[in-house]
Amino acid sequence: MKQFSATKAVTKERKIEALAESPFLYMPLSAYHGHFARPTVQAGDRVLKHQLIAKADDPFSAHVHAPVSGQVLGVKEFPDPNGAMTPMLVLHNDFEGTCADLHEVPSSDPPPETILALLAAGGVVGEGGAQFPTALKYRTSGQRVNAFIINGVECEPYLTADYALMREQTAALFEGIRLINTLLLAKEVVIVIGADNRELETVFAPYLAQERYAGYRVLVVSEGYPHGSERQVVYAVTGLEMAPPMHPSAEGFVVSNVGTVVAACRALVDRVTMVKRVITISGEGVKQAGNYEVPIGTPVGFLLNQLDISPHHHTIVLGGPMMGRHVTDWASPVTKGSGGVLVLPREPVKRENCIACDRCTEACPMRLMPLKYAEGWRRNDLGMMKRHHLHVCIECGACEHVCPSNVPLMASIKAGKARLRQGG
Amino acid sequence: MKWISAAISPPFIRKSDSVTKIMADVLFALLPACGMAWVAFGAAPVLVILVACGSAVLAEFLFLRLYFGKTDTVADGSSLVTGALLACTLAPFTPLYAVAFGGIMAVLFGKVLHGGLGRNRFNPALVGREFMAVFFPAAMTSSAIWYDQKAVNFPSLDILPDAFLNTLVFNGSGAIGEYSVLFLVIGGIYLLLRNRISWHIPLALTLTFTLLFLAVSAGDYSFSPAGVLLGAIYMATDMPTSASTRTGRVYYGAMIGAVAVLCIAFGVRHAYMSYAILLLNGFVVPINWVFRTRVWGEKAHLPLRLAQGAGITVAILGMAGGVIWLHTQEWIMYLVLFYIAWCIGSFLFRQYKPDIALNDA
Repeated sequence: MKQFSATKAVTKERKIEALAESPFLYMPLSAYHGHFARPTVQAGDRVLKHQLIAKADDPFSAHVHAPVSGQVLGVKEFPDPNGAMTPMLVLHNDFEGTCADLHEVPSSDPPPETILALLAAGGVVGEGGAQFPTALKYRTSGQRVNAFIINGVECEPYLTADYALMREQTAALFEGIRLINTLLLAKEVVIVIGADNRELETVFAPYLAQERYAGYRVLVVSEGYPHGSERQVVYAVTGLEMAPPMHPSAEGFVVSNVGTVVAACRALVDRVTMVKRVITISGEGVKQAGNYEVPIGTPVGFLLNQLDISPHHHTIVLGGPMMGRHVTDWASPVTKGSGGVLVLPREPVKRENCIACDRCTEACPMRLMPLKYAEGWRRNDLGMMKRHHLHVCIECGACEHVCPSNVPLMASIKAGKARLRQGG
Repeated sequence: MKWISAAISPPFIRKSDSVTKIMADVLFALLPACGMAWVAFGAAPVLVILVACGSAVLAEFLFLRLYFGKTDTVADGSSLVTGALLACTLAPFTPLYAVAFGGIMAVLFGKVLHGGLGRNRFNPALVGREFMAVFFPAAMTSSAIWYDQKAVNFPSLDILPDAFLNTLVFNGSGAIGEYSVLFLVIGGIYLLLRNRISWHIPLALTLTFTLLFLAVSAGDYSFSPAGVLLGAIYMATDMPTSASTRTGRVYYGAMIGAVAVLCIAFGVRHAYMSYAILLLNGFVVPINWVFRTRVWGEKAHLPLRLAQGAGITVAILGMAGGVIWLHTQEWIMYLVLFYIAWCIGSFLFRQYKPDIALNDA
């Protein structure tokens, strides 16, 4: 899929820039799916930047901190893409940027046993999409992990935020890896990048030559989608095919997105909380496409206003074009797991019958036969979907992307999985 | 503040391709070979092609309207391809009423009654051809439909220095699509380059056919190389009715070659490719299961797969024997009648369902 690199070329060389702050911020309380943080502030409270505003009650959720100083307007319910209502804390920015008293920053490395506490206190979650709390991910049973894999293969079209981060914040990336690894003690540390970003090898070279980063290695994987998906990256490093429900962590492989590692470095070294991230704003409807550092909770609508983009003739996507979600509302915020805001042409999708051309089978990274899921769903035959290993699907969307008939493969897959979860 | 009422689901970017483009490519690939029909016999075969295409498109329009109340899929071009492929298998002087009947039956019993494009088990063009053979036996077996001295345009072309090479470019006998091996192959290469067919079926089919034919025949049998290529490149590769995985396609192609040689060896003179392809069409579902992909992280289960493969091979060869026996008894007609009953029955008792269309903006 060579044409994907053309979509990235637009923003690839753009430096990370800041945009004006939004007057309102919509702080999502959800992190890893189905787990929420509990607000610790009330409507009317004044909050400071980096102040804790919602507390994680279970290990699968994460603390939420105020990205700006200002006033709490309250908790509002917003519909998420599945139609379910999710709570968000709404903040009114006073533009003073007054910071909460941060912990004193020691000059030495944090001891390994405090790392998990610091990551939890900083509200650090995975930036790759699923927002899995790092404090939980790096909790090992005391054994050395087999490999710590840093995933820099940003395979979604258009997105270059991770690339920009690796290029501009290389020092933080390597320090983050080193500090996390004082806990993981991985037998192998591998930074994986895509072949289209091979020039990063020269950016990394001075770091790799340093004593403190001895033994780290860079692995270049071929360009293509979805080569940056977790299981594909683990395969590239280890040669092991891990199909769901088996998870790489069960075999001692820890995979983190580069953005996550940089955020972890900030939490461990500077002791600041995760209140902003780098996103790519791009797509056919954007004139000033680029990589921008934005506060978490910034409404997508505000970003579009800043860049003078009308949402009305485009499809606005939060995340990548293959796995992201359609933004239908001005106030939908940038989350800790969103890698981009895309403004794509709004084109009607013409659905035709499946003609069994088998493009989907050839595109599937898990070697599934996605056409069988559309057929199974149409015939109301869940057995057919099960027989063809529906649970192995990672929902990357590659099958529907290549389908000449635009068969609703992903809808069939998701609906089929939901039915199977309910016990058929 | 909402911008748009309903969210659509990912992926948000799609490869620009469509059924119409696929069908246009197939027609484009067939065009040079069909053009040679004019070189051979002038207007008559061209008229056959036009009537076949016209009747197929008209039938699709009428029956879709009648049964499903929608005609938006007529423009996808699939019925044009069905008509053109049907014409390619016909004799140049086939009576036009029979051709029109074939075009209509190809679309009705080959496609529409199964639920439309992509839902059919059997190659529509070949279904149309078998209907013609059964319902117009006199017209279809007359030797007058194959040759007419008065209509000959060019008896042969002398453009290359070698007589054999010239017959590859043009050979003025056989069915409408069979006059030029060269153009059939060029069309096939075009389809390969455009990724409309994969090499697996044509290669496996022609190789198996050639090897088995050489092994079986001691000069007593004959076959039409262009006919085999037409089947291998354009008929056996029909997407909905052929196998779905690479290994499955190799097996499927090879078995078509084997069954075709079997048919020739037991005296099926003209319909061997047609029988072989239709027979294997019927086995696509089990072939797809036995030759399903090895899913990520799954063990190969090779002994089991081999046993299953042996099982369907026996079943296919058994069925081939049955078809050849029916053919020698001249009872193929009953097979077609049974097929008609099956089509109507399944149409009446199975509700037509479109693919689900969720969250469409």
